Amino acid sequence: MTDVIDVKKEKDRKRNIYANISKEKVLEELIKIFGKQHVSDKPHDLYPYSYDMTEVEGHMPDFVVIPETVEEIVELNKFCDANKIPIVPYATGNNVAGLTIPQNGGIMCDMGKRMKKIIKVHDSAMYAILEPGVTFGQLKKYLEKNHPDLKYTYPFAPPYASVAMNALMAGETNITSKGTTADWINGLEVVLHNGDVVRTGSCFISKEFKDDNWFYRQSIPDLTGLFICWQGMTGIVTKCAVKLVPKMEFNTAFGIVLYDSEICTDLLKKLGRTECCDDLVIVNLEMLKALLNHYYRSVENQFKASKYEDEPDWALYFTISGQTKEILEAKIKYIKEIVEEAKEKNERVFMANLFTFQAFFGELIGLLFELPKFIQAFYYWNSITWIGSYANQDNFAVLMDEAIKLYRKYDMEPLIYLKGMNNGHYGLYRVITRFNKNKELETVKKLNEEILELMLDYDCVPDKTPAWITDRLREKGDPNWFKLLERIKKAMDPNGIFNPGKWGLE
Amino acid sequence: MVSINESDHVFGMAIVKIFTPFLEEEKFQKKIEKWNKIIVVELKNIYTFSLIFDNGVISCEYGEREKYNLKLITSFEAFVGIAEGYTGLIPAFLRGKIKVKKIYNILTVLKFITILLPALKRATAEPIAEGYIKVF
Repeated sequence: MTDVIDVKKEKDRKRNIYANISKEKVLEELIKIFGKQHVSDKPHDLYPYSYDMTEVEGHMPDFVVIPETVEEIVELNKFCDANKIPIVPYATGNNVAGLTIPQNGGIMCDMGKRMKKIIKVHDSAMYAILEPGVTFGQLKKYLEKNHPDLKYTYPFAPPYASVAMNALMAGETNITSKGTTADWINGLEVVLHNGDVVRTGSCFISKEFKDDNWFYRQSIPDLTGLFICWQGMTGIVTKCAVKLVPKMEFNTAFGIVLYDSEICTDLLKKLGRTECCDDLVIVNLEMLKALLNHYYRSVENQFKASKYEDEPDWALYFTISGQTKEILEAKIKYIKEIVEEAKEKNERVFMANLFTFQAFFGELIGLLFELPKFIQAFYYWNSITWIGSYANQDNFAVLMDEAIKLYRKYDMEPLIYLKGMNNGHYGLYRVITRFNKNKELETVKKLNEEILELMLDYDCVPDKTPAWITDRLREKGDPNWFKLLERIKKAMDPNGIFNPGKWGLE
Repeated sequence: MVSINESDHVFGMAIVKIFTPFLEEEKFQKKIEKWNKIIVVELKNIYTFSLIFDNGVISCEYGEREKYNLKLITSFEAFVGIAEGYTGLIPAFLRGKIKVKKIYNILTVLKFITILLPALKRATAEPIAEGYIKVF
């Protein structure tokens, strides 16, 4: 006899999802709701939904459905709730951390294929109402054509990623002065477990759906928060209104290369406080090299980026904008004064305009700032993973240095990416590993465990958390926070149908 | 036929980027195909690299080669100044922004200028990313 419990088998035993209804009956019902051509239980259709690009173990769903309307999702939720069948919401398939891996099986609800309408762009109140399948590329193109004075913010994600899903996961942005993409949400339409359709934010004011009052979400209980960062565990979001901002007439960008993490983060904080920078980013040199390799070397000549001793350690880059050239120039003048102060402390601080970096490294370096992002650069070794967190910027320097040490210890390539958020209130701290799943999986798991401990030691708050991180958070975090989380989950999803297993909740 | 080897240090990558467009040009090919020189570039407070012209093959190695024909000592700011148009390559030499060791190899200096100058000119003539402007 052994005391060791096979956790996966234990979960399966606890949760025999087809105890009350056969798979055949489920298929029959799904076909009734969605039509035969939008439902499948065939392994070759299900397989793409069973894994993501990270190290998280995959699991096959039992069905996939491709909805087109809110009414279909209402019917789906009612049926699944009555029969306790898991539903995993899914949009465009750029998932990380196993967030959409159906770890208990069940039904994948793929909204990326037919629910991708831009329902409305409200020009004067500056917001867009989107279905979950609308991508960053789609929105950008639409705005450029139809509302050229407005723009959205673009994260470190490919252009084919879902705008709504990213916002629901509090993604970072390229206008970091305005917070995460969750801060850009004005309101949501959500289908609850019992089929009720609820709208959060100012759009709640009418009984009927209106598209002209999704302008903000304050001054009432902020129910939108019941769906942000819940990893699809509280309802299925069918519409998301996001803020837009005016497109500035004059834009430029600067880069600074330097050696000292303390000086780098001190500069980041000071630049944030100027409130002059739209985006404010630190990357390590290996990250920059990975990008340059991707752009200018053939696939067979890619190599894992490393750094020579005297090469600069860090690059800090930022964008600045203004409605007039005078405003832009005034901001630049102020920023240059701050950089000069930093140079007085350490002469190994070197700043240049984007134009100069482009001259020496090619125009593709401009893609650091806009869509399409350079995330494709990270796929060469077939897998990518990262642990992301939001952090106190005061801890950035030690987090940067210690992460580099860990990567050296495991002989892996460090790709470190930080952002100053909300003009300095907090920061994004993300460490990325590209790896070969066939050869380096175990090393990456150990490395990630140590990185998580480093983050927790410095009170970072992980984002897009896979199950193994939420397990560790349960040990480390406030137990009453988890109790409240469980109570809310129980209230929102009494039969445990929405993406079970995430945050350690069934 | 001339070629350039890939480089794995950051300024080497820049060198590869700015010389690559010239590899197909006959004038450039003639200049370097029988040229065997090692030019060391020391970027003050950053690092030193060696630019090797070896019978039509260009390489850019991290660090200083022990034996070289020419050594340029300059700064990041001087290069930025050239790129941003504050100063030209030749005025930078004349004003001491780029210092030369083994200046007696004057023919090598002059030839290197004729190789580097068009590369810098072309690089800095590239349009800036769409939606962005040059502000220094």
